[in-house]
Amino acid sequence: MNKVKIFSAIAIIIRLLLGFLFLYSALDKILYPARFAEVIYNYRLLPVELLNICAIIVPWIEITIGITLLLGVWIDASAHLLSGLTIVFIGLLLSAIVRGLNIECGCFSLDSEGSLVSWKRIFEDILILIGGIYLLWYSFKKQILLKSQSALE
Amino acid sequence: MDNFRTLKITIYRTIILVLIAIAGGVAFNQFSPKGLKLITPFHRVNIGDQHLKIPIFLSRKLYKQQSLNLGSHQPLEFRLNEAYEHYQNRSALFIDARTSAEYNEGHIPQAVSIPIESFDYQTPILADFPMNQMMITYCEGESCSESIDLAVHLNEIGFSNVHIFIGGWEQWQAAGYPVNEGDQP
Repeated sequence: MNKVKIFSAIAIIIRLLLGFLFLYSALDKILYPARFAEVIYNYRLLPVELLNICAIIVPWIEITIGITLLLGVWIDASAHLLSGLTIVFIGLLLSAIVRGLNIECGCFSLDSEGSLVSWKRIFEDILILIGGIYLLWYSFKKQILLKSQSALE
Repeated sequence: MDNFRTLKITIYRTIILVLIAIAGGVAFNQFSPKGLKLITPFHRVNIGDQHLKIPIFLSRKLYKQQSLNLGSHQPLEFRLNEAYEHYQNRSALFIDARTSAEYNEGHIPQAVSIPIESFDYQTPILADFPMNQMMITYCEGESCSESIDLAVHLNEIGFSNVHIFIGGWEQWQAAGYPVNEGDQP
């Protein structure tokens, strides 16, 4: 019983932390979409035509993740989306490092100092990914548990 | 079986979240004063066999950060002292990429006015110059991008010796160099 409580307490903490983090990350990108489009362009991976649409949608995916995590709604889907997005981010960062691009990361904020692409950013994303996978695992367990309980009743 | 169903529900929900995000993003963008065009506008630049697409938001900072692979046509940056040297030697054509009103208020002497928004490939003044004419584009200051866009346009139509004076009008004025007013060079 205690174990269950600990697991759910951990889940709540991760949920809140990641929820706020994702809302914060989205803020700059929504306020300065053109700057964010430039950041995406710097990665030199997307066709030029798609830069804007990507800059428009990605921050809103982050907002959707942030809000659902904070409200505790559809945690499974939110964690699923979060993990997928973070894996994409890690891939992008790795590809930039491999190609020797010295560019702004565009990870959490778009300040003029600009946090550059680096291994540290990848490490941060891996921590986020671990959080996402934990939430995914936890919400699965919980749903299955709830279902078996209601089946018993 | 239960696990499978749970997974299926998660995937459906994820798709719904993505759709909500797309709708939210596109709707917000539509009403935001800083909204972007959904399809990024771009210039096509053909150099030899190379076909480049350069997004129009390409800003000065971006230009500085990366060297665009424009081959021998690549516009180079000039600092204030280099620009002034060419001004003194009359060895380059200065091109003011700002609006006509800004040009009339004050510009580098001998500079011609080609506002970026009115640029077209038939701009008559360009017909007077050989393709290897040294050109120096400038705009307001370090944070504007019209001079870069203009330099890229000039490259597109084949001018091979185009430079950008990054410091622009602000630096020129601050240095106390000669200025002209009115609509004549």
